[in-house]
Amino acid sequence: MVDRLRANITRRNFAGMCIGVAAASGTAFDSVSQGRGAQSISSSTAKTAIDQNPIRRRGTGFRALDASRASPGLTLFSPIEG
Amino acid sequence: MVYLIDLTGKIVHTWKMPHPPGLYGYLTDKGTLFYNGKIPNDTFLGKAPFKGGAALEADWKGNVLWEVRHPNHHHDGRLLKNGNVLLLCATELSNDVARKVQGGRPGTEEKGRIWADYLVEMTKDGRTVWEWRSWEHLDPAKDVITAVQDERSEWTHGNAVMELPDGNLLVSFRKISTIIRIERRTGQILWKMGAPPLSGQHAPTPLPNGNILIFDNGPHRLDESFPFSRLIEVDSWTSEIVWKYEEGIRSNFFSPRISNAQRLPNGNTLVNDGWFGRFFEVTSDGEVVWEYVNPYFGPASKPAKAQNNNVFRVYRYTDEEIARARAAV
Repeated sequence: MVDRLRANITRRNFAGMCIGVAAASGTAFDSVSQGRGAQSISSSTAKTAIDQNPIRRRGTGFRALDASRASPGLTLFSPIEG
Repeated sequence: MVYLIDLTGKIVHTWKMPHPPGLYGYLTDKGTLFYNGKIPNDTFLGKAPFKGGAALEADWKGNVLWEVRHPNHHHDGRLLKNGNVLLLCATELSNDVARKVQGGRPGTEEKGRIWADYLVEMTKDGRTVWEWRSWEHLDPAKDVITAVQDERSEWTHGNAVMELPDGNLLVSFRKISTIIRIERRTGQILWKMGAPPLSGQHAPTPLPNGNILIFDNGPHRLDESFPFSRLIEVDSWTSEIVWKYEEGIRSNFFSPRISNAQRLPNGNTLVNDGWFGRFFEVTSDGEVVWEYVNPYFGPASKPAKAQNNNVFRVYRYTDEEIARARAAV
């Protein structure tokens, strides 16, 4: 199964997947990556669809639950940045 | 904004507050929201990311029932059992005390001055009725800034204050990697735990068994080569570590600043890996059974790499506690 999936991911498909990820995450971009090695510090000059925030890139929101072992209830928090 | 989410990450309730977090809120025993808000000013403290400035109580709908302000408030404030408010504050040390402060990088004082902490108890109408000053009870020559590379703009850097069931107080100081228990009546220090084993710790929390649960951040440990975070439960008189949680590969769990932990009713422990906005729950034998990452990164006007999802404190509440909060006025 894995080999079949790998075989189906062509370079063209991969570029399309990048666009899809960017669209899904709401990231603004002017063009997809041109394969440049250098990266800008500022997102205002970003030339890639990839989110430059490493925490967000790894995934946010709900991640995992073992409902039979987690303590029931609601979780309260105040993001420092609002 | 204050969020309440269920175990699937769905937002169940929000409170819109009049100030940004300075630095967090929690539900009181009667179910109201106690909230520490940020009001910046032009001082060193007033420009710090850990500035507070206001403490208030709000009902379920976000109506503010009362608010007190203090220009020197930072990090933490708690509602006391007697109905007053305890605020963690900081001010500039006198030159006599400041010149005795040991540790840190020489020359990194704030315009030649060093700040340190004091506690203020206020009534809800803003009258100060009690104070405790760190420089009258800690020794600047012995309670040293732990990390040699740390700045000397502050000596103690308090980051938590908590009332114990007997009315005495727990206070945590990051710069000197020290937690103390203060006898409320006399102001004397009854118990002290420092470095090592502590390193830049946060949020000491009393447990029903009398022990204290601590988020031991570990940015500059004196007894280990690598930085890593861990939770430790300690005997509150002998300082013996009776339980701990750390990752198998220790560096996989490292929050250099902020963060807290809470023992839950089923014996699990809720962990706020606050620097990365990651909340997770572990069993007593260290298995992860829940995880959520704060998706709120603040203004989109900042460059993506400069946005953070920091969270100072996280708390889990039972259905009964939530029912009380819904009814609280």
